[in-house]
Amino acid sequence: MIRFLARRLGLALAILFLLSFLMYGLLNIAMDPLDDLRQSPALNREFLIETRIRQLKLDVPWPARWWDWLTGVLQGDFGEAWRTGQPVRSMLGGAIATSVQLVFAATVIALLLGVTIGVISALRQYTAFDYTITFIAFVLYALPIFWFAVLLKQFLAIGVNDYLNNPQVNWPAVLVLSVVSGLFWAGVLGGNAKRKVIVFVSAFAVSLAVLAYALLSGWVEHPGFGLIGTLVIGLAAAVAMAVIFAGINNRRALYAGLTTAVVGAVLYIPMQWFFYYVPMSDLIAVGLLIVAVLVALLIGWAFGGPDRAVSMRTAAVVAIFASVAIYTDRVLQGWQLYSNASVIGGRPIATIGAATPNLGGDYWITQLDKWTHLLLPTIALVVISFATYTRYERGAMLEVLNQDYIRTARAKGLSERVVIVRHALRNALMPLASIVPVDFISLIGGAVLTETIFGWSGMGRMFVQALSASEIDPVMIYIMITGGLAMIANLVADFLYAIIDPRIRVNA
Amino acid sequence: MSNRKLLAAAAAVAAGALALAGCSGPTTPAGGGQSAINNQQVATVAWNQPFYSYNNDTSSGNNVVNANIKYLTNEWASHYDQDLKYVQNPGFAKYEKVSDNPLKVKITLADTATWSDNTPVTAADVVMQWAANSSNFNTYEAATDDEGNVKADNTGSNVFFNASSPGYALIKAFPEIGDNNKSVTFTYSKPFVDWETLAMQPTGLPAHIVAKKALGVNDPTQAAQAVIDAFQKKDNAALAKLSNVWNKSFDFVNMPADKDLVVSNGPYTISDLKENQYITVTKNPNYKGDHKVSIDTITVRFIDDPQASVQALQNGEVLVTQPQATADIKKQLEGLGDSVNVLSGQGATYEHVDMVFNNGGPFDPKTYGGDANKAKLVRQAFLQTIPRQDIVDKIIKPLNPDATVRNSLAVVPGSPNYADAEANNGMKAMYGDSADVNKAKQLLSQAGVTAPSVRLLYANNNTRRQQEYQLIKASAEQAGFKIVDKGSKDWSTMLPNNKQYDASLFGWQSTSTGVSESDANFRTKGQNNYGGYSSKAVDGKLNELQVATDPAQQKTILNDVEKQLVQDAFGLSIYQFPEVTGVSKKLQNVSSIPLSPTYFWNYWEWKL
Repeated sequence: MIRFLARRLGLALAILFLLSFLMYGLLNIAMDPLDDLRQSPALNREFLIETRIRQLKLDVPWPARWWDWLTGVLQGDFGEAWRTGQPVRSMLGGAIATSVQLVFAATVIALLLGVTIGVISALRQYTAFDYTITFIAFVLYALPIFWFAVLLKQFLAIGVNDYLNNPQVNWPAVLVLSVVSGLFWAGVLGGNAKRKVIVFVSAFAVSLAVLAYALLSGWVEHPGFGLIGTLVIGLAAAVAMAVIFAGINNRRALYAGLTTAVVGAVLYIPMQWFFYYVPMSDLIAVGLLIVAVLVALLIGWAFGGPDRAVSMRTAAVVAIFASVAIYTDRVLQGWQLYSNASVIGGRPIATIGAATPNLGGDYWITQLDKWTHLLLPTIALVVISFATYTRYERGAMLEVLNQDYIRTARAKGLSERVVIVRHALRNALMPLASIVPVDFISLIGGAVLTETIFGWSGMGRMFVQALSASEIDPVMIYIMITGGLAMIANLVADFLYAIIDPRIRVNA
Repeated sequence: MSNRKLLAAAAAVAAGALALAGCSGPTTPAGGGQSAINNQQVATVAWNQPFYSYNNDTSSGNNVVNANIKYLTNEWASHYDQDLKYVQNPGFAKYEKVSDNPLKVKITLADTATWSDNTPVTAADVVMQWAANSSNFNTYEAATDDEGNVKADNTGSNVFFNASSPGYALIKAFPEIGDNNKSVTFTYSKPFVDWETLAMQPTGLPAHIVAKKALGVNDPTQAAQAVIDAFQKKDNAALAKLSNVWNKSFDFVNMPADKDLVVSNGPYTISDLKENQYITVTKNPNYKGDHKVSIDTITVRFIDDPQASVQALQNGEVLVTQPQATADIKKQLEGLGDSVNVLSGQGATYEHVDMVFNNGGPFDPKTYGGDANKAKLVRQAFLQTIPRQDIVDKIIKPLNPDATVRNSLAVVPGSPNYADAEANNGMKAMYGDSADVNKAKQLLSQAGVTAPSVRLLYANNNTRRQQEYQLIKASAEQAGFKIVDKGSKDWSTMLPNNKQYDASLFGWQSTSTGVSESDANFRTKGQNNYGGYSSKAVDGKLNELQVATDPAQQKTILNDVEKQLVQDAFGLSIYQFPEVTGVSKKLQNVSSIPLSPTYFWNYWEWKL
């Protein structure tokens, strides 16, 4: 294992070293930093060119410059973007943080949605539901992001803000949404015609009720979950986890989940006081989440039984749901304060930039501001990755379902749930393990269009701008980082394979 | 544990939960001691380019976005009103012409004129503005002449201020300083028509800060004096350092840690700057002048995509936007309804095509073995193919139904002299409003040149220029030219490098109402003469123009210059830019003038 890791890392370093040399040489050919000065009308042109040659050491052969650069990087000096004189290190910090912020949530959401919908689509192969999902996936896949972004801004930002300022409920739209929801659930749950009708009607009614409540009770103006909402979310998560991953007959897992949900709800009020007295930070938030998961594991362990691990796992997932609910609720409590701030002016959903200038405010307000700015670009990115993941997962799932061992599993009388979750799903996740890490990394450096339209300055934009300004240092660092991350992503993919597929061992 | 016990345990927990739920959380969501949300008055506006230099007098920092921020943060002795008339600002400075021959202009700073670090604005600031912009103190030329080579850096005694103002260059003698260091009297070596446009902005950067950075003098009074001394004694060692700081140190794209760099003398100072995102200016507490502002903070967001800026306006994220006007954008702005005022008018910029005379391309006599006439015929042929009327009809009329072809390189349409210029300069007579492909073919065959290849530089991230490029390409290729697409979003940085293109399509923005403005565009080696045009006749006329005080005489000279330009096939003007400004009704008293600082011109009257 360690030998494997060492060998892979050694290889990665060697490749990076070679890559840096080659890229430096190629960039040196491609870039002309004197471009704007040649034939400049300035009377002192020669002098300016001389100055720049000295500044950038262009009179030194490029391998020597590369060596200078490399030794600088190894000592932590990443060089500078010479046109503006900014140190690359300071540009990089901001750009990476921006990119990860932009891409992380989008990837997680796209993955969860994509896998779920893909699996269901495969299970309901050749039904109207399957065809609809396939159609939508292809439409989304083909969608040009710059156009989609404009629509998102128009309807989800401007439209929603208009609604918040003048709450006129658009009932036809609410009805259409409810019908879509009804059709979706009828398609997902399937069954005979009678069952479909029942599912449709109940899903339609529930959606309509929830939407109407949200719109009419003023929930939209004061969003949040409250104690009851947190409890409901926790309980629902517990039941869902138990039904899907443990089987409803595994009472211990169910109770472990339910207990965790209740504990989460009980902690809701104390947490409000905690947030009130303790200035929050991302670090504390992550710490709290870890504590919550540990407590949940303990609860699951306490319920004991022959397969403790299942109870513990169920409880842990429920704890994550409850924690996220409490955290989100606290962020949303700032909604009115945020929305009424002078710089927001009652229009909270943003169309441009990564943050509101001069907002001020504490951790929670800043967090809310981040979310309102992340909302649209995240949706745009999710929509594109979602389409890919759905297609991959559907294909993988269908392939697995046709395998002999699935038939064997069914033949030996396993329940359909066990066949699908334990035998089919695990194997169907394998292709994703090699796609997702690489996808994530390429989005970090490659979300150039999204960054441009939404006015975010992340890695992609840094790269494009530095490239067009002939600034070699930022470009090199970009290449090193994306190159390094790509190798790490591949390594991670290999490990994921080993975890998911018992036939593979990493000590080869 | 049996199921029943499990249930009992769960029930106990649930009961406890309900008991606890009886308690309630804190009533105010804001935690104690945490920073409060900003509820100051903020006006956020959009501009299409990021700020990058606090010194907009250098040739690299000379850009409207920098000039606008400079205008928000620094006072002028007079500014333009909506009719482009000068309005003096005695709360900062007064200027007067003391004598005509020689031309003497006295600038008197108000006692209240103060920099934001509480240092008074003094003669040193005025002297530095003149000295740095005049390029009279630059020594590089001497060095080139002696050695045929330039020393490699701006240290030692090599002085180079990266600016050239033809007007300031005429002030050769060191000015008189008086009134307790509060007044400066400039004596021009020759009469200069546009002296008032120079006197409008008597100060630029704070001299004491430049001296602090360059010479290490920390006391503001001594630092200011050091600047005066350095220029007065031509202390080249000190001037070299001053010029380095003046040229470069005020270029920044993020808020500098060193607050000295944002010292200002106007109602606002820069308080925040995020690369590619926004710049914020807040009230300057040490401001004592007349332009009392009512808005605490103005934020200028950099949104280069016109579509995005219109949506940001619609969403209230910005209150003013002046996107590059296209018919679609105007329609979109007008579609925003009651919450937005759409102001449309003529901008200060005019679109034009320039030729490159010295790059060995199709328009350079060198290409034809120095046959100047042949090159001229090729240039004329190319200009004949430019479908000006077509461009106006298809691209400009949807925005401004009254738009016409602009037939002058130097006179603004609508100004009193325009009709005269159009009638006399020969542009309309020679090239007409529409393209003449047959004539172009004739000229080409007369020159004996077949299928010359023309690399046309333009901004390909600008829809309007893309469309123009397509129209020109179609028309020129009919006449037998081969058009190479040199469109780039970095066209402005490529512009000085005329080896890369043979003709350029872009806009010139007038920055003042002065008549000598076109000097830099047409003079041999002029700062804006990117095409390398050189004509002794034009240079001579421009020299005359700089000293012509009689308006009638000015008009005649300008007409002569234009006539020569048309004869030499320098280039063609195409149309005056339309301008569309979208202003949210939340922000009152915003209007736009054609000249920089456009819609910022009366920012002290803005009201939220």
